[in-house]
Amino acid sequence: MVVGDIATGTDLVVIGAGPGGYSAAIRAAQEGQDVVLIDKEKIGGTCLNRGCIPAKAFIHASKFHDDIQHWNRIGIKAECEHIDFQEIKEWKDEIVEKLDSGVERMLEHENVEYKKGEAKFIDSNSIRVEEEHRTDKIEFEKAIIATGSSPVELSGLEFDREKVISSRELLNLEEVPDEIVVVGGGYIGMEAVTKFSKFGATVKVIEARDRVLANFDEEIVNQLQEVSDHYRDEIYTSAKAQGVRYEDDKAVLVADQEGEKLEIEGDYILVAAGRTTRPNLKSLELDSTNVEVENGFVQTDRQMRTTDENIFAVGDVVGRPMLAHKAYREGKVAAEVISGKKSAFDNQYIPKAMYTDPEVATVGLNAEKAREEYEDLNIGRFPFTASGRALTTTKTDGFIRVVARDDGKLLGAQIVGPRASDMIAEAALALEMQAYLGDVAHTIHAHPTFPEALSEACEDALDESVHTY
Amino acid sequence: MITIKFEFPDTGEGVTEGKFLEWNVETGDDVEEDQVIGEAETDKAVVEIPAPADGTVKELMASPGDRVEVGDIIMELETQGAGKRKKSDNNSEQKEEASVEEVEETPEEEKNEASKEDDSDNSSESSKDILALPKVRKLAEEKGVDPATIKSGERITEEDVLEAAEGGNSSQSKAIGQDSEEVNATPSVRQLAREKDIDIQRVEGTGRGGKITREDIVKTAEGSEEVTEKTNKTTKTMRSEDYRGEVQRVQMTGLRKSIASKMEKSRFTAPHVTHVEKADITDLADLRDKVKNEVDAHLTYLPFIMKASLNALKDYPDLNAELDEQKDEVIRKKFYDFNIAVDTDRGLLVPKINSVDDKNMVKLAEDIVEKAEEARDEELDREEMQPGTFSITNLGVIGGEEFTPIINYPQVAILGIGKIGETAEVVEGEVVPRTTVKLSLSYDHRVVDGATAAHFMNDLVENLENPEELMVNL
Amino acid sequence: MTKSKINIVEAVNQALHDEMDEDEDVIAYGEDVGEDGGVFRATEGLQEDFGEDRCFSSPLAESGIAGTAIGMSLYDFRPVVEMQFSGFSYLAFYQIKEHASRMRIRSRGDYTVPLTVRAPYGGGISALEHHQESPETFFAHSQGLHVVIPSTPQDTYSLLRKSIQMDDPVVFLEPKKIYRAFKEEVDTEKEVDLEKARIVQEGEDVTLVAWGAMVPVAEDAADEIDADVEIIDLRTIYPADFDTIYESVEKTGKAMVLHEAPKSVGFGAEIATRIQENEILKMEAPVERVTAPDVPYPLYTLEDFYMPNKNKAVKGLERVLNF
Repeated sequence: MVVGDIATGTDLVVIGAGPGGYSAAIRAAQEGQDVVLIDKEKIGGTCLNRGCIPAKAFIHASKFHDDIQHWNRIGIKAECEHIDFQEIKEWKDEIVEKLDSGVERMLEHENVEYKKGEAKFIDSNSIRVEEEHRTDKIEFEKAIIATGSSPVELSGLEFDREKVISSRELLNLEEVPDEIVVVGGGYIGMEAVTKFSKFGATVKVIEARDRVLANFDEEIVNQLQEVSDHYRDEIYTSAKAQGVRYEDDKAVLVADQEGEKLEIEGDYILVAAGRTTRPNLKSLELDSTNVEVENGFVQTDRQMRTTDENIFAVGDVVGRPMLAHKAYREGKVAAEVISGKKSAFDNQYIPKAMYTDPEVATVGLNAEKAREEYEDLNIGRFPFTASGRALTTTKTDGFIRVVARDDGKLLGAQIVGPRASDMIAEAALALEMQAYLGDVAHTIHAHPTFPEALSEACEDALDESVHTY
Repeated sequence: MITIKFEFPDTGEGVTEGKFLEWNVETGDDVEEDQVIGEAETDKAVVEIPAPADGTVKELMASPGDRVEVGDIIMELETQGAGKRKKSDNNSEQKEEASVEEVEETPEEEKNEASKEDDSDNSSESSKDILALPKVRKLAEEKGVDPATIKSGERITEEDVLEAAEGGNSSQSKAIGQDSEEVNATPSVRQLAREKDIDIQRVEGTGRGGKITREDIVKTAEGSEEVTEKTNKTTKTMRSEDYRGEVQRVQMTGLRKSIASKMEKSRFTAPHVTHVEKADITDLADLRDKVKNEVDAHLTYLPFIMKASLNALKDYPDLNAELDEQKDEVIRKKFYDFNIAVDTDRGLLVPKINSVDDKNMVKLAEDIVEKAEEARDEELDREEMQPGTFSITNLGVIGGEEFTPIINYPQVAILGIGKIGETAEVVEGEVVPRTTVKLSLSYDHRVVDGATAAHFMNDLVENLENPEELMVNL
Repeated sequence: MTKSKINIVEAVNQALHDEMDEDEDVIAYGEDVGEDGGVFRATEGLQEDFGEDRCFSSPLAESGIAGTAIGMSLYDFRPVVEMQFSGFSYLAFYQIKEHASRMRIRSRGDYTVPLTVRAPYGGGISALEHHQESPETFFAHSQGLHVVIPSTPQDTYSLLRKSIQMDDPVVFLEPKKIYRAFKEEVDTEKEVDLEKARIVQEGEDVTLVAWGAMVPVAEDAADEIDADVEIIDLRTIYPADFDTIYESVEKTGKAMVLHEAPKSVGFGAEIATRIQENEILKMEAPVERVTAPDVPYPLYTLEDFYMPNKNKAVKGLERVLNF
């Protein structure tokens, strides 16, 4: 234990080691900066440890159910003997561990110093980092805030982390519960349905608005619900959660559905009502700086600068959409700007993907929004039932829709169906490259593949399709 | 609420500058448009200065007694909304000229400044002309502003740099920081625009549907460079296709460019007169012959000529001086540092020999050799290349009887030495061979009159023709 | 393993490591220096690399540390001992002043003491009594000692190695406030003269002499003031490179000294005297000294009032420039 307070000086301090933070740290180090990266939990943040990655691992595992059914149908007589959920969870943990150490290796390679602790701003030039047994002072030239978000906590339904849980605990369950009540019909809730219903749980969803997935197109949601009853059967809309009570071993959610009392029982109540940046920002003590926060989001410009000239912010704390890929891009932009490059977050299109079954992915404008700006539109559609490739797999439900201007310039694409999350990449690239329907339609897509469908949808918009009418 | 930078107005009659007399207002005062806020004196009359708009006086930049030029900013005024800006005709004309180009971009005034500053050819590399503290230079570098474009000859302050930077960069960085509206360009083209400091929102796209292509950005960048070059040059340059025969283009080196600009400046600032006098240095030649083998140093005529000049300068101090154009004062220097012109592979260099009065001939001879070597070996540092008080150029060693040397700005005079050789002279009625040399003195007629120059030369020649007397007077 | 850029305390570690690697006679010890690698990690990894025989922890006895080191150095060892904080070195002062510094003259050159005493020194770290001392003047006055104070990782590395290589005793004071303040690339081959000052930046208007943690303060002050400041990092307090200072004062005509130790009889007094002795005709103002006041180092809550900082330095520069 050293007597005295010797400050460490560094070029850049990054607070938060999630996608936004660690990518900024590594990028800045590559550009020659001295970087200190701080996180109060694990490297990788929410995404790697208790969000995107573990969720996808489970979803992957859950596919067994439909796969086996399909195999049986086509002549392979197989049966699921037994599900060892513990093992699945361990496999998931392994993946997370692998990714985390991958990031750690990158950080080491670039000489980024990592400190595990909680950071608090002393002023616009220094922070205090509270670690387990000590407190360090760090003086910086520039700082990046990448503290991310936390699940929203509903009053009356505070997380006790035993029965009332958030997505973090959900991904660490030791065994598949019989019944889960999900408060919130957004994508997290729907993905939860996907994961656990395939493993045999009964998932009940309550949503305050009049339909689930309110942020997605009605047509898409209808398609989802058509394909799978999981997304339809135990869904309670226009129902507001109010509280919880406990009966025997179960938790009972008490809700109000249009004036009527509604009670739903489950082993767990998952509160997936959105995410907020507030608790993460609060502990930073931003009052000691010139950083301005409005409505829970840090105010920044396109170069990720805040109102304090020494401090930048990226990721969820900056605004919606709260997606890891947006954070990755912003983190890199901030690092480059700090290193003197003329970068900016001028991306015009941010794709969204949802890992339900079938998957949903969108980018750009849908028909409704497009009509607000443009009078005449060219819309093309291609159902996966017409896709040769789709027919050779288990999945044929869904469609691709492209929306273009009357002169053919692409405005957006929506995909429901197998591999939507993969196919949306091509659509996003086409949009950023200011492509026209013809650019995509007349580019030869290998056959037979899923992405062909995008090309086919564009052809349909041009009335050139030979596979649909 | 905007701040108007009020420039000293052109009151006509060909007046380009004046002396600022007094302010009738103070900072913080409210003024009305056309209200008389100050007075200045031109060489024709005392003129009143009207306020350009309604507003509040933010800052007064001229002080009584200051020399102001038309276009100099003398006051900052804070007004509501878009106040009218009265600018001198000269300035607006120049800016309009600049905007008439085929470039798609519609240049704002600030944009032009920015591209001028950022893209301008750094022809005036001679950092001697730029008076700025190291930290001011560093600031200029950080802000991407070339200090040479701010002012030269006068001290540049931090504020000057920030102002110059703001003019250019504010619209630029705003563009980066703003919410982008839909930009019809791919990500790599958007990045290219940022790197070239071009506001992509103002570029017209030639791609399909108005898409901005890579070529559009490159053309825009070049276009603004062209604009810069065109407004900087005063003469048209012929394109090589216009020549009747083959030509070879040789790029000017930094040194060449610096010499060029110095010569131009000197020639066109000081009215040059060259006074030639022949000196009979037969006796001096004898003396030198006798002595040169006794000393280690390579003893040429130059140290003698330096000492002879030194003596004459002591009697005619106006030739060892500098003209302070701002204050209308002749600065007579009481120290004697001579620049000696040296021909090197790279071009003409004029290293300085300090304190000629403190050194004897041998030391001078040694110094000359040393400095010449250093000049040739490129070992001189900036201090050693600074102008001294008087210059001597010895072209005669290569050739030439008499010539018209150009004064080494900001000195007042320069002495050219011609060929030393035997000529036929008349001595006591007879034509005899004598060793003579012609000395060509160019001087600045603003400071030195013909008579003074002639007296000086007589003294100098007398010193050279009577070396024993010179010794006694050293 | 060398990192590409290192800070001052890492430079100490690197220098010790490289010197111990090249010269078997070099040994390092002091309180907690061995297994623990020193309270500031300055000796980290040395025991691992070179063994307990060459790097070990001593008892809590400064006088013993210095005394044994002096003895060992007479028998062909080349000890580098640590005083855990410069304030503790006073307990070893008798040994250092009366024996280490005297040995050469006592033995008419037959014996010398190739000892290096390292200590973190200086304030500004909110520590307690004895932990923020600036003792350079006491050692400088001792005659027969070199007193060295680096201010950058490069100087720390090169000067520490040179100090160890010297056959006479060196007191090497490390400015702990800036131990980790910044990193720079260190050229292990660079030759740095032990008795030469370093010109941090050139200027025409005023000469500013500083050392240790005051060098960054000097740089900040020079940036803020509207004048051309020539900053000299003295590096070796004794014997000091006065020639560089004279040359500078001849150019600027004005001088200021910035040091942490209290004003009276601080090393600034010696510098001021020498400047006026040698350059009085070139001087346009008296030498300004910006230092701590003549009080014992106070409680850390009053530290900001005690330590010279950028604002005090700027005021000092203004006084001397506007004289």
